[in-house]
Amino acid sequence: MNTLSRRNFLALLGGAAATGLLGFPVTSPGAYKARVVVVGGGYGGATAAKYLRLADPRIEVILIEKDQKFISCALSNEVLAGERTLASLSFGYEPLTAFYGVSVVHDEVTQIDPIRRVAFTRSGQEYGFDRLIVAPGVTFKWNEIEGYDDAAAQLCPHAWYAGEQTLLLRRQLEAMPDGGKIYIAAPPNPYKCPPGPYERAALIAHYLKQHGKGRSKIIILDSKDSFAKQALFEEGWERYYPGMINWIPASADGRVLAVDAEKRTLYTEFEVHKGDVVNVIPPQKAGHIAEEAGLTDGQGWCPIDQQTFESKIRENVHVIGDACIAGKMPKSGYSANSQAKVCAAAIGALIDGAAPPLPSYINTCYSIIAPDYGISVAAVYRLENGEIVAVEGAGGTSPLDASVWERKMEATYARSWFDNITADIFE
Amino acid sequence: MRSRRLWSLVLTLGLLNLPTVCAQPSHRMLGDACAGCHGTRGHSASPMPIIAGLPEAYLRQTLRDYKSGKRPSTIMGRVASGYDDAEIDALAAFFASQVWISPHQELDPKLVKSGKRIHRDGCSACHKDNGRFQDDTVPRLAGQWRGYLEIVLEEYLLRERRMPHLFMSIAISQLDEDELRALASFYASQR
Repeated sequence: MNTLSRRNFLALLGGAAATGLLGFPVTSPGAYKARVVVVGGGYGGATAAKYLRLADPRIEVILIEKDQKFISCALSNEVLAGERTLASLSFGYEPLTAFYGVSVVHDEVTQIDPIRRVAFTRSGQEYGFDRLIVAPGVTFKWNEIEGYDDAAAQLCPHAWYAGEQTLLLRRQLEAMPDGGKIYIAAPPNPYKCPPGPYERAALIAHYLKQHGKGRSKIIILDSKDSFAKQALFEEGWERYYPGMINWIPASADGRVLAVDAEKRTLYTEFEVHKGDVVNVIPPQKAGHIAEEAGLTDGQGWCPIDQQTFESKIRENVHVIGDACIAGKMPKSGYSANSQAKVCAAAIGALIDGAAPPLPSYINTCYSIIAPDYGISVAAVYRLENGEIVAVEGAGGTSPLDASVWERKMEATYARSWFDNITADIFE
Repeated sequence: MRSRRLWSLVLTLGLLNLPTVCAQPSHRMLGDACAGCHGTRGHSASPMPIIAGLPEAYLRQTLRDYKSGKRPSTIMGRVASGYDDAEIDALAAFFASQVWISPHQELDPKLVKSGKRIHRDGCSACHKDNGRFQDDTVPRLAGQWRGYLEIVLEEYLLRERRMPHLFMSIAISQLDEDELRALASFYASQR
């Protein structure tokens, strides 16, 4: 558990003149200087909501999130592996309200009027805003793989949002006998969580080995010719799961063009692949509300000012996380968390009529190949000529020749990263 | 006389042409980025180390040592390299200005007791006041995560890790793994 209990939090706040029961400055309606509405309560949106309140308690923050709880996709491959429960990945929004004064509304934003500055929800509510942060994550390009739509995902799950889909995939793995074939269709760039499909292959292989299904095979059909941390993954797969994982790049006919979900059959240009378990991770684009609100470009992602995250298309609307084009930052949970803080600081300044502060960004992505074997990629980013670039001579991936101890520590730190970032966001 | 006038002219011109101080992100902007691993404002979940309230000079030197490779790391070297000297100074100042909070930890009282003895016999000269003492080169240990202390003590033991504080390596090498676990539990128990 995190060190920061409620009592300690109050001690930290210190100095606030008029404090309410929970230590946060009490302001009556009308005493707020501005209102920011945040659409989406994931790694990006929930971080933005909290950090806006930390930046300036006189900014009213309304977070609109359709789900009652957030379930982290990061580390959800460990559920497939049998190493953790879905409950351990689940977080409520109550502390954001109780400790930081964020108004959390469980509803879905279906429409945005950027001129009148109003967000409309499915249940018929309207929320006026001074600034809007849209953090909708990604949505799937249904039928870009012919035959792969929401209905097909109930048979061949994507499990690219954690929850029911994760459990569905897990149940299918459990039902599969030894010697079965598991297909993972990996998407083209860009997509949420670049190393995700390859960590999934490893952790499914771990599950198979632990449950007497070691003769089973995992085939990754990739729309790409290379992938994140590839050499490290291949080294780890070979060490722990020799002969179990086969990666087919696009240039070797790996790109999946069509799916027959009922028959669990994948079609590439020249081959037909029938699996016992089929996991399709489809091509992606910015979450639906971003497109609906006119925030996306021709490829389906949101162009933004990379210092403030303000949309290049719609004034006063900011986009953070997976949905936005953030220079060289990958689409990851830590990226979203980092961008949210930069965005919150920028909005705080803009509301005061001040210049947005100089930004600094970061990302680390851990992948767990086996319970005691982790790898990582890290980068620190800065703004250069309006573009987010990685600081040269820094960052990078874990070394290929790392020791057993180092790999074990990276797996430990991977899990601890998860505990820390979720506490940073939800506690 | 002539060279002195020339010299003062050069100095004056130099002052007039002083480059503007390079603008850099604020302490908070830099520090908040670290929360993903080190917790909000440096109040971490185990076993990432609590860094809130550690001494500024110690934090600065540690980041520099990670950056240079003088202190081995799994990831911190790659991260610290992303910051220049001024940014490292800012990060150190940011975390040093936070308040240390000792978390509640479940600890084995037998280990705590034997750890106290080992501390008294070998560590208390530098890690004064049961590990609460800290200065430019000695970090606070009291109330740090037991898990993190175990990791660092293990690092001092591992031959492959060339830790920068030779004195520490020599001191630690006298102890076995059980004694190191006891020490970690003892310091973790202190508040």
